[in-house]
Amino acid sequence: MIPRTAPRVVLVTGKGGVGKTTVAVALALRYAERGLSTVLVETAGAELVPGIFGVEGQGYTPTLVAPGLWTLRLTPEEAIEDYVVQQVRFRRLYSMVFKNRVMGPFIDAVPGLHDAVQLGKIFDLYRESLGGRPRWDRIVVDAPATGHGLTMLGSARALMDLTRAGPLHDGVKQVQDVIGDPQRTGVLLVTLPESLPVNETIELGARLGESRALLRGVVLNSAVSAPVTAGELRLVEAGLSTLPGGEEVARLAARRLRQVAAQEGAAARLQAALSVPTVTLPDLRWGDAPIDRLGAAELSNLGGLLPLAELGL
Amino acid sequence: MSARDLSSVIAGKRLVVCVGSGGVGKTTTAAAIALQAAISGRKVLVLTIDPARRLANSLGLSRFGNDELRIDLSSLPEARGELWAMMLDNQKTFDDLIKQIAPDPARRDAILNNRIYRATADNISGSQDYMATEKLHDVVIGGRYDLVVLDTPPVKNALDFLEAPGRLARFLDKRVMKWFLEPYDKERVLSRLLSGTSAVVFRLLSHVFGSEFLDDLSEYFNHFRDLYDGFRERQEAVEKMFFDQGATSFLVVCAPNGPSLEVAAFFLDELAARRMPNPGVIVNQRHVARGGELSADGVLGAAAAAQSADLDPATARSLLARLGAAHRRLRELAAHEDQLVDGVRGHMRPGQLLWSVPRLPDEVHDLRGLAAVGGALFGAPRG
Repeated sequence: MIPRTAPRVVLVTGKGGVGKTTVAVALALRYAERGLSTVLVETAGAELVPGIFGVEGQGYTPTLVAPGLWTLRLTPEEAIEDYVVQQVRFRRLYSMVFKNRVMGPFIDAVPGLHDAVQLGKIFDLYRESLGGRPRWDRIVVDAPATGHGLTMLGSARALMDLTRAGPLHDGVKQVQDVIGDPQRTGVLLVTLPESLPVNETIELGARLGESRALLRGVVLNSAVSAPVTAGELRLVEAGLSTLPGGEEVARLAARRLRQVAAQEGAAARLQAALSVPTVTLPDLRWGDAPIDRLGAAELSNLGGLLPLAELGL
Repeated sequence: MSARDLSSVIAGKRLVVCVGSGGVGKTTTAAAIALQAAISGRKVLVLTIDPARRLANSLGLSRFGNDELRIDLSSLPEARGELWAMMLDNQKTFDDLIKQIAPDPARRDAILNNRIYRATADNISGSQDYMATEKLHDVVIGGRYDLVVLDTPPVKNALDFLEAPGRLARFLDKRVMKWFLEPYDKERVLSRLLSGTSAVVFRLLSHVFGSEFLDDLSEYFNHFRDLYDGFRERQEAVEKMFFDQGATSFLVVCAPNGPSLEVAAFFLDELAARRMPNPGVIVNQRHVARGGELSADGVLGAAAAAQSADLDPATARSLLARLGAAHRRLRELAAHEDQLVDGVRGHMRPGQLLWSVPRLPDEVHDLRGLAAVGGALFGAPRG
């Protein structure tokens, strides 16, 4: 395999509820702690990041939330306005024409436009410079859940095919040159270390098509661990059964051991099917962190577990 | 059975819609509700918009598609009704619809081959919502089933789905269509556009999108000119169905974690604001801790007892401490989830219920497993 440089744009996607945002924040924190100027982009109107950093809201322009780490929230509406205003240069003209009730639905109906303009904003961040060098060393995108995430990834290409020529075509081509280039953009898939989610991820890998080259690795998030080994459990089982509540404790440990075995099997299948690095991250609810708060400190520790060199990120 | 358990909430309904964020067991919940109703003797269809892998798995199938498929219930002798399942294939539903309503073969082929149509049916985010509306009209209002259970896509999309009938109407609004369609031939479109009030709009649009693309778009809209009334009729029928208290129940499905419960609260508020029938919330994946903390004396005693198993007391104590800590964490988590769930109760209206379903130890791979989920769901503690 040709050694690849770390891409500046990293899109994190996966099915809903698997911890996409957790992994995206952990990765962004890791970059920022390495001294890389990093912006974390939440897409499709999601708004989980302010809660993690204890800040009040976030907008379309980057907000500093930790040393070296900025976040912004992307909505299709703002991205469209941004794009059109860049083209026509008059915000008032935009409001007059695009916000009226005839044109609003028209804009909604242009296939792929919502997704492509969000990619366009990511491209703008990629291009942004400060003092003669790129403003952002890393752009981490908390992308929409897989089905939609893949549509978004392909939206620039789809819109190029549709428009064939003209200003929109030229615009999305520039975007596609960055988003479709494995040297500049990487994709990190997040899933759970269970059999159905892993099956779905393997199927997804087969459907990636052109985007397959962007895939840098798969994160198996929320893995449980067992408090003791199977051998250790056998040693104390008899003693435990004599204690009030001891049987429940033993049952929990036995269940964990079964889960751990299933996780290892799922990870091995995934590795064999996709031939990209797989990384297992622990379920933070089972660690020592305060149970009522998943904050930046815990996510920073989680980020420390990501093998960046192995992932080529 | 109490008058307020889940089966009584569903009895007599013709449509149950499960909404909620991703990864909370929504698909499995929908399938379990459908199976339970089929067991009780009704003819039920479970329809998923989400990629159907999960549903197929829970029904013990490798895959299924856009056609209604009857599920073999012979492994469940107690089942008296019928269970059918299907996945919504967006492109195929759209194509079928065009074939059904196009006035003539020429128009049909022109639409099916239009490049913007291909991209729209395939790619436009939200077009599956229009199609879900169409399919719902077909299966719910068509009257082939006693009950249809709909599994919706995760959060943002599902909200779109609630709005889809209205959005479809706006998309096909006569004013929008008119702008592109009258007069029909391109030269006259251009001449009209280049004069008067439309001129500035058109110039702006061409500047942004390119005039070629605008031509393609107006051709695309032109194809739909005669199809508009059919779309609109069905959309209104489905919308009416959504608001019918006697026929429809929306169920909010969630898991006991912050983000999912926030989404659940959002749905509760939205459904109430829209006056859509919503009997309550199902909280899946609850951690349940049984038994109390191991006593220090007890642990010492057990450690002594373990000596017979060639284990020195110090090692035994350390092992027991780790085991006890894991169990303590489980109890903390269960208590924390109670608190989180209490937060959602503040968004419930009088008369709404909350059902808690314990996290199941195994993934569901067949009808037996699914029936077990149904047992947990329909026997779930509420309030």
